[in-house]
Amino acid sequence: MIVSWIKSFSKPAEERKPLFEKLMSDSYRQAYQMAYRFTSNRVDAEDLLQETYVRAYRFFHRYDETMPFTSWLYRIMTNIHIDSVRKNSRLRTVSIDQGNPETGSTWEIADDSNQADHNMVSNSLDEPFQLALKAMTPEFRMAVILADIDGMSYEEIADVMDTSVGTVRSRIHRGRKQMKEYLQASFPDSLPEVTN
Amino acid sequence: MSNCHRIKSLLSAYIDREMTGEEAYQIREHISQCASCELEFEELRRVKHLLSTLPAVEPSEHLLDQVKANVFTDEPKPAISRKGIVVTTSMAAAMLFLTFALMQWIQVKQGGTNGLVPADEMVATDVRTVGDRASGAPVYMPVNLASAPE
Ligand SMILES: [Zn+2]
Repeated sequence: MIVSWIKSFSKPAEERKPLFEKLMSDSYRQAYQMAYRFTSNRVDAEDLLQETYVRAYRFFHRYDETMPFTSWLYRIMTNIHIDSVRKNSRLRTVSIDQGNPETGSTWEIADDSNQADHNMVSNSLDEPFQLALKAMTPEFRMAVILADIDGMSYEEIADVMDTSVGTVRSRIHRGRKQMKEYLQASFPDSLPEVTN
Repeated sequence: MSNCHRIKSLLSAYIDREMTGEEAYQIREHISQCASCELEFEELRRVKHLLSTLPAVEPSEHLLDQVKANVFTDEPKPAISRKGIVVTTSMAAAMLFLTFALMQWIQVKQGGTNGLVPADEMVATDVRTVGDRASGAPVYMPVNLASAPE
C-alpha cells in the first residue's frame, strides 16, 4: 500500500494527467448515476460531479492504487455531498428563523434551490423513488445507493464512507425502512410484489 | 416476541447475504413461522429490488468535456447554477483579486485613501453565502457582484 502510494506520489504531473483523464472517462457515467441519486436533480448532480473530479485531481497524488478508483472517487463525492447537505440545512434553519419574504430574505438562494429540486424531480419518471431517496437521512441514503444501485458490498461501503461494517449494516437497514415507510405513506401503489 | 425486534433489525443484511450462515439459518427459520417478520422481509426486499432496477440516467452530451475543462485548467469556468453563480475556489480568489483591483481603481480616481473599503468588509457585505474555501466547496455569489463601475 505504501509502495503504491509512493509510486503514484512520485509520478510527474505530465504522467498523472493522462492517467487521470483515462480514469475519468471510464468512471464518469457511473459516477454521474451516483451523483444524480444523491442529489435528486441534474443541475446539482453535475455540480457535484464537477467538484468531485476537481478535488480528486487535486489530491490524485494521494490515491492508493490498491483501492478501486471509483471507491476512492465515491469517498470524495460522499464527503462533498454531506458537507453541502449540512450547509444547506443550516441555511434553511437560518431562513426559517430570520428570513422575511416581504423584504426579500438574504438567504433566499437556499430555499429557492429546494423548490427547484422538487420541480426537477417531479418531471422524472422515477419520481416516487427519487423523492423517497431525497427524504432519507443523507448517511442512510448514500449507504443504500452504494449498496442497491452500485451493488457494492458492505465492506466496500465501509471503506467509502470511512466507517465500520456494523455502521453500514445499520445505515442500510434504517435507510430501506425509511424508504419503505415513505413510499407506503406517499405512493401506496409504488411497492409492487417482487415476482422472483 | 422480543426476538422479532432482533430478527427485523437483521433483515436487510439477510437480504444482502451479508451475514454468517448460522445467522441466516436463524432468520430463515424465524420467517417461516412469523407472519409479521415475513411481511417486513418481503417489503424490504421490494425496496431493494426497486432501487436496483431504476433506469440509468444519461448524462448530458457535453458533460465529460465540461468536467475535463474544469479539472485541467487553473481557472475553472463557473458553472451556472440556479439564481446564483457557483464559483470554485480559484474563481473566488480571482474575484478577490478583482475586488482588490477595483479598490485600487477607486483609490486612484479619488486621489487618496478616503474611499478605500477594506476587503473583508466588502466581501461581508456583497457575498451572500460564502462556502468553505479550504475544502473547495462551491461558493455562492450574487450574479451582480462583479458589475463594473460606469
Ligand atoms: Zn417475528
